[in-house]
Amino acid sequence: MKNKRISRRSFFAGAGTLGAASLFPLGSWAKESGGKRIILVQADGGWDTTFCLNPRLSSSAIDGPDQFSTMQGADREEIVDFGNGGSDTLKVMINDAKRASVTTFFDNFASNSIIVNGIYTSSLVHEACRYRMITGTRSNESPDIGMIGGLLGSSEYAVPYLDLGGAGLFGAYSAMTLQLGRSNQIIAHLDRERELPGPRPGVTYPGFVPATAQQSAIEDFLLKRQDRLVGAGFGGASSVQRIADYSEALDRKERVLVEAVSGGLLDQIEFGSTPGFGNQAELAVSLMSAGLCHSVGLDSGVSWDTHNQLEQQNELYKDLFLGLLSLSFGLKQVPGLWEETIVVVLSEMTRKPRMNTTGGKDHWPSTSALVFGGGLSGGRTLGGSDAGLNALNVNLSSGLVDSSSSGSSLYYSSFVAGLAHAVGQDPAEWFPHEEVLHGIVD
Amino acid sequence: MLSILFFAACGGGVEPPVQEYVALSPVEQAHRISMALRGLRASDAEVQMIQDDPDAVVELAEAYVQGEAFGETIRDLYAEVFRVRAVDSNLPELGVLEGSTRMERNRILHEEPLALIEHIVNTDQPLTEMVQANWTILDEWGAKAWASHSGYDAAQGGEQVVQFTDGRPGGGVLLTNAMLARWGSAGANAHRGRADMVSDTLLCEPFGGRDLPLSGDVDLSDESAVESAIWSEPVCVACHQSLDPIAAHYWYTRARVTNFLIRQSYEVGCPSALALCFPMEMYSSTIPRDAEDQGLRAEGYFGQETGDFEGLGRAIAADPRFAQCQAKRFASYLTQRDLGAIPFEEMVSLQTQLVESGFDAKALAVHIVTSPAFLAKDIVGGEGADALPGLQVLRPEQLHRTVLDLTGFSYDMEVTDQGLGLIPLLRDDLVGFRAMSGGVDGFRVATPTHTATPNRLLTLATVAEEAAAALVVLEMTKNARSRKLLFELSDYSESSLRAQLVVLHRRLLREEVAQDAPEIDEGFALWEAALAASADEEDALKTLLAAYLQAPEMLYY
Repeated sequence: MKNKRISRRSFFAGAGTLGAASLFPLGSWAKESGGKRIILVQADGGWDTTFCLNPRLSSSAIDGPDQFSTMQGADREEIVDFGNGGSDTLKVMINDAKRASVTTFFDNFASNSIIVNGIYTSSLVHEACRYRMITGTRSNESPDIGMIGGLLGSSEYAVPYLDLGGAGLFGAYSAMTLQLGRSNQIIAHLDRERELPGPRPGVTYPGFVPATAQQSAIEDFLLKRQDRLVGAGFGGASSVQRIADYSEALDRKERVLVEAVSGGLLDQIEFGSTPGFGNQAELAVSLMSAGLCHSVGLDSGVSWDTHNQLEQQNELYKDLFLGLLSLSFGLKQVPGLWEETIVVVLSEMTRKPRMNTTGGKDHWPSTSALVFGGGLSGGRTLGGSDAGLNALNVNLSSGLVDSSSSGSSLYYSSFVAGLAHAVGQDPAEWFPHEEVLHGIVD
Repeated sequence: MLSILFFAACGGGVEPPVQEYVALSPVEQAHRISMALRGLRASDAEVQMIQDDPDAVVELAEAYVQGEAFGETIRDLYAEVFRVRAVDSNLPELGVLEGSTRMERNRILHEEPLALIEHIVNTDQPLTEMVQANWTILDEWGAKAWASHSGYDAAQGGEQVVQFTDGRPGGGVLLTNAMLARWGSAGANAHRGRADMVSDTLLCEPFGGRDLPLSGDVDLSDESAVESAIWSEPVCVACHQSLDPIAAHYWYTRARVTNFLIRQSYEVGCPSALALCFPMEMYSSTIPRDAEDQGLRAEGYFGQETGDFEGLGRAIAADPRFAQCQAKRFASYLTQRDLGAIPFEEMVSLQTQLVESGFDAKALAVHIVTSPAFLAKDIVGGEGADALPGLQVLRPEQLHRTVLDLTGFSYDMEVTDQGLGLIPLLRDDLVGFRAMSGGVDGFRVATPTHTATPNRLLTLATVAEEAAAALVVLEMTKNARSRKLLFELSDYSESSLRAQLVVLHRRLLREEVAQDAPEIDEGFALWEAALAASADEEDALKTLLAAYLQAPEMLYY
């Protein structure tokens, strides 16, 4: 196990002298990880896919987004083909008065974007659906697809999976993750000399920060205690795993303390401020390009659970795609990063075809996802749903709708297994009993 | 009782292999029991008690469950079950809540049901009261926030038992104001989410985890077809025949309370008693009961007629699944294993123990933490060791209590200018570190993390440094006898320091070692390095303590 011995204080001093940017020039992310990185974006609460990825105008079976539109001028709901023009072309609902960012995004990135429609979640319950859609399993003890992808960078990166959204699931790999906190409170640990409010007015932290040599002495002592713990004779899988995790986490903690400074993290976050999705997106690109992390989890930062006021979906989509634009342009600015990254944007469910009596829509057990990245051949739509938003069968080898008797349901598990395959993990290892959705990368 | 009888009838055929445990040392045993039950390290006297008589572990545990700290553990346990300490649950500072801090308003929503269960356990009432009590516990702000209760003595303040005055039947935690606020219901769902919560938390049988079959027989986009299908379509009836009657009990309760909706009510001037304004009505028996007219099922519990919440509480309490589930939850929490990892035989044994003790939560907890498997380091030969609970991990709430007890330091932050108040950083997720350090946040982080993570170690390091600083300053003001950890602050000779280190190893690192042991050599080398770095004994002491307080033996117990 590697252990860097650069103490926090000495590193801060060094960073101040050298300048953080010079330590990790642009593109220093390019470590040999094999496979793609993944950025998982969760839109928590259940989006209405008819507003964007599964475009539907109102019909006898569906209350579409046009019910909130004047259908005049720019405030017009329109289904636009951004794709290859074929039967699997990429069609999106746009409204330039209410969700112009959606149009801008697909104008720029449709050729690298794939929509997957008709993913059946087998549940109407938020949590159950969320676990399924991000892990491909029914369990919140399984790692999400961001973590699975991040493991490809487990040896090269201090943080294989950086969970900026705070909603990641890590399975048995928690020791390889890092969270910043909803108010960037990690600053209190990473920059111990930063003055913060204490337990009483007028009293501030820090009360004590070990000097360089003292910090080195502490680290030496902790390593000796770690060795004693390893040799203490604890048996059984649980103890063995926890002892191994201690070593792993201690090593990564020390690397984070160093690389958080060199990667510029401390200059980009402020204690007490809750980062919105756009801020998360910018930070993700910055920290990936600085080489701190391999893969990242993000969150839209707002609830999409519009049982009332369905019209709010307009604003939610507008903000989400503003963030995705920031993310995409950011990735493209770093040589090679856009091509090496797959971004997955999903919500745990969609909403019913028809309005309820309180101005909203309730839960619906299928959903859509947007998958994009520079290495993807886009302009396509996989899967589909019928006139009543019921999921259609697909040919899992191609991902295309297959209404013949040989077609298969597109379950969440096949979708996530397909993502694992797309980033370069072996789906048979992670999802040994599931059929894999192909068509994202092959 | 069925499952118990089943086990009794079928379990006698095959004798399980006799396992020879490698027991933890007496000092390790004392600390593990103490940490599990109280979140505190064992005292020297308690360690000595186990060293003198290894069989005294039960006596020690029985003493622990009588103390205040066990009540905190009960609260923490059920906070994970009911997920009421939710960072996104908060009330606005409006009406009678003006002048409160955000943290005080959070306590209104976070602690009421937990305080109720703690009170039941502390007063030796059967655990079944948690679904049958017709009273609740409010603090001073809760008493202002909620309507329709009597008995709160504002002059006394703090948490007090109060009686409902709105005709609310005995439903225990299920009818506490805070649970109704936390587990709201979207109108069209007719309280089914709440029914799922009841079944999940109390019976360990969530409806929401079941698969919704992909069936072409029902047009799910047709509301009337769906309403019909939940009565007639077998795949729908299978769940709804049980789910909907539980949901029906909530008919008379407030469906949804959110910060946003409360603000909306105040903006329009709180026009009626139904408005979401303080003091807020959460229950009304005058709401017209026309559920059946809307195609909903009447109140019931898996085929039994219940009538109201009192009937529901009785039915739940009598259901063997309740005893089994709560036994599992205690075992899962106290030994840090997933619910599904509790072996069937152990689960049945604990269920039996709980029922036969008259639902005595204290006895159940003692039974769990004094079991040979919990107090084992390994199994001779290794076979079967994977089933051991193994090393336990300091939860953030335990870290708070342990460090406070050992050093007098409480990792808090006072943020007055934004109206937040005093924030306990290890029990909060807004600016604190609870979920980041392995706890749950009540919403999206629903299960704890029982292992070391970089975030956890970062938190531990900061807490250790701050606590070390606070302790050294504190100890300087005290005489030797009343100090917490440092008995000598004027003699820094090697022999004196080695004697001090022996104490630190016993209290913090769970090991009994002699002054000339290699472990003490390592501690002394740390001291020498720290002193060489600063040439100041006080600073060196802080370094020494900071290292000991973040050692792996502090994280694990």
